[in-house]
Amino acid sequence: MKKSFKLFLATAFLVTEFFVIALPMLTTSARADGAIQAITHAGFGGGTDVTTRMMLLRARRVLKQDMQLVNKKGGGGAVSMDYMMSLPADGQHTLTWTTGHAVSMALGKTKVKLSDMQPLARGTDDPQLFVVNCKADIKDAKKFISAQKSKSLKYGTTHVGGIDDVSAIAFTKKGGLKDPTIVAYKGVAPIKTNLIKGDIDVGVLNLGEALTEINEGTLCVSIVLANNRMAKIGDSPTATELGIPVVLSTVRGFVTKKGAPAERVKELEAGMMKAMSHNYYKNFLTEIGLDETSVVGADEWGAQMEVMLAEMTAQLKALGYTN
Amino acid sequence: MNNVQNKKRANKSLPFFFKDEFKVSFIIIFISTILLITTFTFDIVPPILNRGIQPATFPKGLLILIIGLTLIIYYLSIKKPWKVEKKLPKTFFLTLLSFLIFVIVSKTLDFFLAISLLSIFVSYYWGERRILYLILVSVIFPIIVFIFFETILGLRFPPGIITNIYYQV
Amino acid sequence: MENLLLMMAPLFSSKLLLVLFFGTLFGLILGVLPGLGPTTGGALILPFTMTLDPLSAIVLLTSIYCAGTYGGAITAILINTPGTPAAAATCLDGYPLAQKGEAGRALGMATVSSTVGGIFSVIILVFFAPLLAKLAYEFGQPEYFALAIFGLTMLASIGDGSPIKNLIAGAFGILISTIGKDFMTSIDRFTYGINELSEGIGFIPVVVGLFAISEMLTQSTLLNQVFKRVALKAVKLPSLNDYKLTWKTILRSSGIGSFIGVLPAEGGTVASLIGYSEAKRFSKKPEDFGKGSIEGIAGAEAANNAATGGAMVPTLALGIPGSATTAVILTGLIIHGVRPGPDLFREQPEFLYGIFGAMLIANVLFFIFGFFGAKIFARITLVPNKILWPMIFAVSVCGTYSLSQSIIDVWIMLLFGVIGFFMRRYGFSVVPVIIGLILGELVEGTLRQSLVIFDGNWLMFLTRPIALTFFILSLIALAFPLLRSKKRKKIL
Repeated sequence: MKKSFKLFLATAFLVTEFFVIALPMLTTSARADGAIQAITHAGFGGGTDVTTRMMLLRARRVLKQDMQLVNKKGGGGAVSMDYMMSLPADGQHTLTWTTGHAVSMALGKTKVKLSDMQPLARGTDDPQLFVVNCKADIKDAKKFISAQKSKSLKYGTTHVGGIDDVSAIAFTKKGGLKDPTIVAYKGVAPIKTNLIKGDIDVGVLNLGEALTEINEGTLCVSIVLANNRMAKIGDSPTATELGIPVVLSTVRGFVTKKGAPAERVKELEAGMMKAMSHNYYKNFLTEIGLDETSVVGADEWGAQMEVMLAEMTAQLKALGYTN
Repeated sequence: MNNVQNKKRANKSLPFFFKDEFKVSFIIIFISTILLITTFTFDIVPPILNRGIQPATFPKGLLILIIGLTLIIYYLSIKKPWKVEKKLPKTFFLTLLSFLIFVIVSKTLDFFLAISLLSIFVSYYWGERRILYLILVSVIFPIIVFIFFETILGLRFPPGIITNIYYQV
Repeated sequence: MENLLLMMAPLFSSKLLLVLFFGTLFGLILGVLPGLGPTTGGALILPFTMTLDPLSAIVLLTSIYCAGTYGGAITAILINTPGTPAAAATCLDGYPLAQKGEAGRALGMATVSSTVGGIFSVIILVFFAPLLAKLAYEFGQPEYFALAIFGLTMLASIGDGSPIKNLIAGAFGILISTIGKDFMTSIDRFTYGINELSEGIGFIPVVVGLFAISEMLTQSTLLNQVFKRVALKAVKLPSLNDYKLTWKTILRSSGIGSFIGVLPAEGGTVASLIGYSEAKRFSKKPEDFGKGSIEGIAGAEAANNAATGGAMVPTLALGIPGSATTAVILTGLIIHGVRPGPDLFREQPEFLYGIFGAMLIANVLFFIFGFFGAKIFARITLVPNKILWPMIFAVSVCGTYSLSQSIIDVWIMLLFGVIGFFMRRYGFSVVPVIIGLILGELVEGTLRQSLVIFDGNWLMFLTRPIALTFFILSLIALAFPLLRSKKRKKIL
């Protein structure tokens, strides 16, 4: 009897826990608005994670509201989108939407549609590059193409069923070349070492991922899959110049759930644009080989999301991933 | 009484399907077989990417290896039986039950409430009766942990009845 | 000489010293807490480093790395829960020693060997970084496959189970590594339609489950047994004799750890497992391993801390991370506008030697914290289980959750706790599961990549000298126990 009474007493203390945690919150108004959840789908230290954190760094101050990174891994972004849909459409959250999300939407991993999302701003627009060993003669773009008329090259990509292998396959298909031999890797580091060792012929990379080796002169960019040449590697031609119109890039931008009040959306967009015009973010862009053209507002970003989804859907269908 | 129990535990007097060796081997093989069947339901690789080993091959090989090795240890155990393990005490099952409570409460009510409940439950049934220590373990310590993770590391915990008050929806 | 002066620079800047002090302390705390580690911790404070100057930022990250790697050993020894995955091998002998009431001795040895390993690797880093970095380019996928096979031969000797049970546990570990989306083909394996599983099962939930939670269940069956632990003995530090016994092991593991660290692979975890198993192979008393061998602790701890300096080699010299934590450090460097590579060595030596110096000092600092703290930490073994384990549970749950903010990870941890309990009950060691899990992905991935690179020709493996060497070493490793048992019989 006595024992169970003590247990009851102890349980009663559990209830006080409500108040102990709640009290400071009820008395201070600093958190009256709560924190904005910044949802990502990527692991620590990856490109998406870092881009989001860099945006948060200043956005917190500009929006005068705390922001917390919320990581929802899984399903190539599907879990993060489903999570966003479970939240109220109050503009108290953002989701970092990437090319990977377009892929999982195209593959039907989630029921979320583009029309459920309100674009806010784009953070990075990183063109896909075909990187080769500087000692190889395919560093010349024309030889790169002619070599593939007779023989399949080995392309190193990060994972498979994403932007990287789609880039390789779209390029060879549109150029009427031999299908690539895809060697998939878990990250970019082994792609670079294997390129240097000569085990693979081409690495499908972003500029920031190979900048060290490019500066050093061990790796060279053969072809850029962008509309225009890139400032840092002005000698490397675009695929379009060579008559193979393939434009693909790894994009990351921010969205919130559709239905948030219009002024809140404007406020978020303006806040993010301001945060990303700060020197911290600009320096970050420079360091990963990009410039401020990466940052665009909601309209342009929304249009690109649609193009991206349409492109990925078509490509994955052509590859046989979807029916 | 003790004698009777000892006899019950003596392995030789048990039919083979009650022996640990059989139970363990059976469970390993049973689960491996289910997993092996699953490997046949993996998607087919699009032809353009189909090079070398199929994604199902490697797990299949592993599962067959596990089943084969398990048969070997069962065969060996017939010759040389395992040492007989003591019966699991009540506290073990209570601890296991506390895990179940944790999962249910953390899913339905609140993550930190679940931690508190589990702590007080385990501490009490493991023999702690001093009220102050029970409070320390189930209330004060989880709050310290929460504050450390939430403020110093800046993590967000899943919503729940207690946590929501903090996040002030 | 000039370089040495540059290395000592942090000592003369009170700001850097302060950063080092807090970095080391923070790293230790992260390392001690199960689930959290230098990788997660480093990533979490990465944005904060933006407010510091580049050198302070990198000094902060590297000191967290050094101290965090060591900190994992403390929990491994005291409560059989590796604070970081790299300390999994430390549990094997550290915990039995603590159970015998010799926690102080175990902690002291872990501290000394960690520091020696750490400093050894920094020296390697200082003198050989540009040279060693080229090694990273020599390791292609076939070489990693061979290395992973060599690693798997540990299954035959590590842990306390029979070799066949170890193999089953190892195969189970490899099987876990196949769960999720197959990165080579993008096909889901064993996900049963659960999106959260498509990323695979994380390493940390499995490690925390197999060690911490299963130990909690084990403790629940031992409540009637009264352990008498004498406080005085628990805080006793290693004797001179202990060091005489282990100095060779410490040096060997420092070498192994630095080498494994240089390879852009798994870093500290693989290093400590190989360091441990080599310590056992060369030991005069291999039968003591797993029961509280002081050599086992030295072998594991020297190796995982040596891997920190090793992993910094390719990170700084090539910009290719040597481990998960150095990937975070690399990100830190890049967002501060420091691009690692050979240029860094030519153009900013003062920056580079500042990092080296900071790593050295971090090693000394955690030595001071650890060695003098050991007596305090060791008292944790005197806390009654009924208080201690609920607290460990709370920290484990939050640590595991924080990894990817996923409640599913927490459930996976609990599931593996139950699996681990029954495995141990029926004579299966849990360490092979860890080995399988780390090396499994490497084995399968690199084999399939190699075959694509070789156009499906298996014989091409024989054309790669480094790969061939590791295959031969694997055969020797497998034959070694047999040879030795024959030799013993002769002597007897």
